Amino acid sequence: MSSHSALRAIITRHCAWLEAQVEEIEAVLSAQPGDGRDRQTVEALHELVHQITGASGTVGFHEVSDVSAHLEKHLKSLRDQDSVNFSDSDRQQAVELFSRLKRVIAGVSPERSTLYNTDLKTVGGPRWDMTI
Amino acid sequence: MTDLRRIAYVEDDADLRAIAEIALADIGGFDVKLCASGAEAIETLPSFSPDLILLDVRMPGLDGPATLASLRSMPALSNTPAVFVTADDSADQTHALLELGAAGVIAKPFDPVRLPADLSDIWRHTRQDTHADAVQ
Repeated sequence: MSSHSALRAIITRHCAWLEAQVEEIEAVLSAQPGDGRDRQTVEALHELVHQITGASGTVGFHEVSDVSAHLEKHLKSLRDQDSVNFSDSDRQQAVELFSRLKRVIAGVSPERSTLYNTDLKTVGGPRWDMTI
Repeated sequence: MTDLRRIAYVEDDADLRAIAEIALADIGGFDVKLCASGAEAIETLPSFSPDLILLDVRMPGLDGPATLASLRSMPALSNTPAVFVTADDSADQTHALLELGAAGVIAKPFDPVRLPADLSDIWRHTRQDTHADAVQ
């Protein structure tokens, strides 16, 4: 497999992974609020969203990464709170930010990655002289 | 005379490992060793003898800083420049990682097209600093 084909395969796999992440986030969000497990819920959500933020931009889905970063920031602020149960407004904001992320991910396809038509063998030009 | 030829990348995200490998090999022309965890890095990197180690900060099990501490205890890797990759590129976090002995910090998400050049720049600065220390 050429590196160009390999890159496209990674991008395609990443799209499927994003859909799976959305399903996992929905499952975590479906947990009942106020039952003393809010902190666990937020920790789990933060981990899932953190993975999206870090990976999607590198795979060429910058809008996904940007929207995910907003949700991650909110979750981090909740995680850093001392209280065990979070307010309705905190929870509502998380749900709204996730809805936005879900919409952006729903519009993702491999061809929309900024790397899809990139041939990494040519973008760098001649290999640099790494000798000191 | 020293060349940057061998780069190890320790990262738990499979897609990031795969994209970085393509970019580092195809654009940079480097020999690349991928590790999916800190434990794998500790087991395999001494025999790979990388010129530079790229380390994800947040990984399950051994995180990046703990992995670096273990690698530093190995004679073969005690002076190998290490670069952290982190989604938290705040000034405090960057400072803390540099204090651990990192040669540089790269923010996630990173641009794979730029990654070889960014690592080469960091490595070149590291070598120049080492050379300057030796001259003094």
